[in-house]
Amino acid sequence: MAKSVELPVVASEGGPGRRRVLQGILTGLGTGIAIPGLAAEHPVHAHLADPAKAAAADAKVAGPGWKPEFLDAYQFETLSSMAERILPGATKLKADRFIDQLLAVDSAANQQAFLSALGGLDGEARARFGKPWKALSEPEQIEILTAASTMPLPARARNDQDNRPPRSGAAPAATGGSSLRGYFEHLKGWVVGSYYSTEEGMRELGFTGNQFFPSFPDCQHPDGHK
Amino acid sequence: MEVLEPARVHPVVVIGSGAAGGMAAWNLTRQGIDVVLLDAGQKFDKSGSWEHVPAWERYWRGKRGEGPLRFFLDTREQPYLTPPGRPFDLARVWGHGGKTNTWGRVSLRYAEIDFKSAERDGWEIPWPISYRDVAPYYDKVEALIGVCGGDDDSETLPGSRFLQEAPPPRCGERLLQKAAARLAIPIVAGRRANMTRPTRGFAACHYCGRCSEGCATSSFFNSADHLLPFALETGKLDLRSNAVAARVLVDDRGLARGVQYFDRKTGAEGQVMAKVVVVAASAMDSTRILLNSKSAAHPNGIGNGSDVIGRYLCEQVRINVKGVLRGLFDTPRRHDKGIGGAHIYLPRFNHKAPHQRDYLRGFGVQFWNTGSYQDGAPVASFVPGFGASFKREVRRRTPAWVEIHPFGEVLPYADNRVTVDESRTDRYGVPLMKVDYRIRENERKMVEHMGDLVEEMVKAAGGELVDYRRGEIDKAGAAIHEHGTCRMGQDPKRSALNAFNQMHEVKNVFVVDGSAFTTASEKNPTLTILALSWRATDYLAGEIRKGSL
Repeated sequence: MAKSVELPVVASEGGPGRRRVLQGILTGLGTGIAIPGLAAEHPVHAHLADPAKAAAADAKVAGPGWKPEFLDAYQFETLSSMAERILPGATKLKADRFIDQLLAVDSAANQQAFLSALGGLDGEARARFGKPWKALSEPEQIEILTAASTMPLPARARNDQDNRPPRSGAAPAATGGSSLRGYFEHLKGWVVGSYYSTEEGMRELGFTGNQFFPSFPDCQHPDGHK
Repeated sequence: MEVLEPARVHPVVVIGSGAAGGMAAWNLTRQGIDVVLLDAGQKFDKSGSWEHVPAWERYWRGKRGEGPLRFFLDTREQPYLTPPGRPFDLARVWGHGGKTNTWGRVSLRYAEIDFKSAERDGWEIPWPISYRDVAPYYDKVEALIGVCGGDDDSETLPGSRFLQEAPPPRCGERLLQKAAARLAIPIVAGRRANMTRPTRGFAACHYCGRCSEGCATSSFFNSADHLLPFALETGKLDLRSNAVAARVLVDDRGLARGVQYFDRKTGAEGQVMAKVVVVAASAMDSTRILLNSKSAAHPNGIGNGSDVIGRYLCEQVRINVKGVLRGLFDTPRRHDKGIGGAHIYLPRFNHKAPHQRDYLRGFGVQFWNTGSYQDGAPVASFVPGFGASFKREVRRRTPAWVEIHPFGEVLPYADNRVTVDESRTDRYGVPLMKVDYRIRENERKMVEHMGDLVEEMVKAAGGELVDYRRGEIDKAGAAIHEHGTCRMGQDPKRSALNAFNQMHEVKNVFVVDGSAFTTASEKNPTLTILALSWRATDYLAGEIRKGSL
C-alpha cells in the first residue's frame, strides 16, 4: 500500500476542536447541502450550519463555571442522563452543554419541541415508575428507551406509501409528534448531531483528516472481496 | 441612458469563460485571432481554497471572519423565475472558468447511439452531426485536459486511447461492480477529468478528494487554469472581468455587431463591437441573452425566427439512493475519497435485450460518496436504537456506505422552456429568465427502471437500502446539466444552429455551450461541450481566414 502522508494539523486556538467537523463541512460546501446524517428539518441542522451561532455555543460550553443557559438545572440533568443513555460518551464530549447553548438561541417553537420531547420521556418515567427520569435505575431507563425506540410510528408520522423508519432528528411532526417514539427520535437527533460533529466523534468513525497519496491505493482487505 | 460607442471593432467577442467560452477563446487566440472575452465575474483566488484545511481548523478560520471560496451565484443578486409549484434549481457560477471550477469532472463521450437517437425512435429532430464528426475532437480534448478512465469500449460509451490510468475502485464500488456483472450489466472505470499523471505542467492528482472545493494544484481541468492563461500568453486575448453580458447588438441587416454588457460592480453600461459574437454563457444564461436581444430584425430574440430558442430545455432526471453492503460491515476504515465522486461508472445498458423497456432513451449510473471515508456520520441517522449497541452499529456500518445515482435523459419537449419576463428585471434593468420545466411519462417509466436496477444491484451485492423511497426523484435542475434551448439541426425551421453551432439566421453568431445540444443524453455534457466548442471555433477560424465573416 502506498504510504499515506497525513498533513500536520494547524494548531487551533483552543486546541483540537470539538463539534467543528460538520460545521466545517458546511462551511466548505456552501449553502443548500444537508449535513450528512441529520434530517435537514431538525433544528440542530440550522445551528450547525450557522458558524457564528455554533462558535458562540462552543465557546461557552468550554468555559469555566459553565451553567445551562436555556434549561433549568432539573431539565439539564435530565438531558445529560438521557444523552448519555442514548449515546454513551455524549456528556464527556459535552453534547448536553452544546445542546443547551443552541437551544438558548433557538426559536420558541424549537425550544418548545425540545421541551416536549424531554418532558414526554420524563413523564413516561413518572407514569411507569413513579419517579423522574434522573432517579431511575439504569434498567428502568433502558426499559423506557427500549419501549420508545421500538414502538410503531403513528400513522400520521408516515408519508403516503412510505414505510421508511424515521431518520433520527426528523422534526417532531415527522416522527409522530407527541408520541413516545416521536419524543425519542427528536431527542436522539439532537444528541447524534452534537456528538458526531466533534472531532472525537468523527475519528471514532475513521475520520482521518487530510491524507495525500502518490497513487490511489487499491483495496487492502485480505480477501480482496473475492 | 448615455452609451459611448467604442470605435474599435474586434474580430471576435466571446461571452463566458467556462468550458465553452474558455475553449473558444483558447482555440481562436492560438490561431492568431484577437478575442475579447467577457466574463460576468472575476478570477477565483486559489489561495483562498480550503480543500486542505482540516475540518476543525475551518471553525477557527470562520471565527476570524475567513471563508472558503464561494463559487455559486447568489439568487439575491440574480434572481430567476419559475411558475408556482414548479421549482427549478439553477446553479450558476459567474467568474473565470464558470462551473468548471466546481464541476463533477465526469467526462463521457457521446456515442453514435446518442447522436442518432432521434433517427432510432423518431422523437424530435436529429443531431446534424455524428460521432465521426466529433470523435477527433474528443481525442484532442482528452489529451489536452487529462481524463482518466479504463480500456472499455461499448456501443453506449466509446472507448478512447487518450485516457490516463484510472484509480482502482473503492471497496464498495468493487462489490457493486461484481453484483452488476451478475445482472449482465457492465460497470466500468469512471472517466473523470482528474489528472492521474502530470499533464501540461500541472501536477497529478493527490487524492485528497476535496475537488469540489477548488483544487490548489489545478489537478483537474478547469477553464480558468487550463485554458485562459494559455490564451492570455498569446497576447491575443482581452479578458474583461465583471462584464455581465445582456444583449447581442445588431446592425440594420440583422447581423450581430457586438455585445452590450453591464459592469457587475458599478452597473455602468458598456459595449464591445465585434465582427463575430460567440455566445458561451452556459445554456440558461446564453438563452436569456439571446431572448433579450430583440430588435426590429429579430423581434423574438436574435436568431429566433423559428421560435425554438428557449424551448426544448432538457435537464436530466436523477434518483439518489443510499445503502450499506453487509460484506463491508466492520472492515477497516480507510481514507478513500480518492478523486472525489465515483471511481466507476455504469454506462447505459437498456438499448438492447434483455434490458429494453417501453420508454425512449436511457440512463447511466454514478456512485459518488461510496466509500468508508465520509464527512459527517451519514450512517448514524439510519441506525435504530440507542446505547452502546447503537454506537457499535454506527461504527460497524460506516465503512459499508454506498450511494447510487442514476442519471437519465429527459426528452426534448417544446413547452419545457426558458422565457424572459419583460415585467421583471435585474439590477441592470435586463429582463429575468423564467424557467418552466417538468418531466413526463417517459421519464417516469425510466425512473421505474432505475428503481428496479438499484434494488436488484444492491440485493445482489449483499446490501440493504436505507432511507429509500422508490421513485423519489431529485429536484428539477439538480443535475446542473441544462441543454437544448438553442439547438443544432439541419432544418432552420426547427433548429437555431447549423452543424457548426452557427446561427441559421445570423451567420456571425455562434452558440457553443450546452444550449446547442439537440438532445441531452444521459451523459454529463462538459466533455462534449469542449469538443463541440473546439470544432465550432475551428470552423469559425477557417471562415475568418477565408474572409467569409
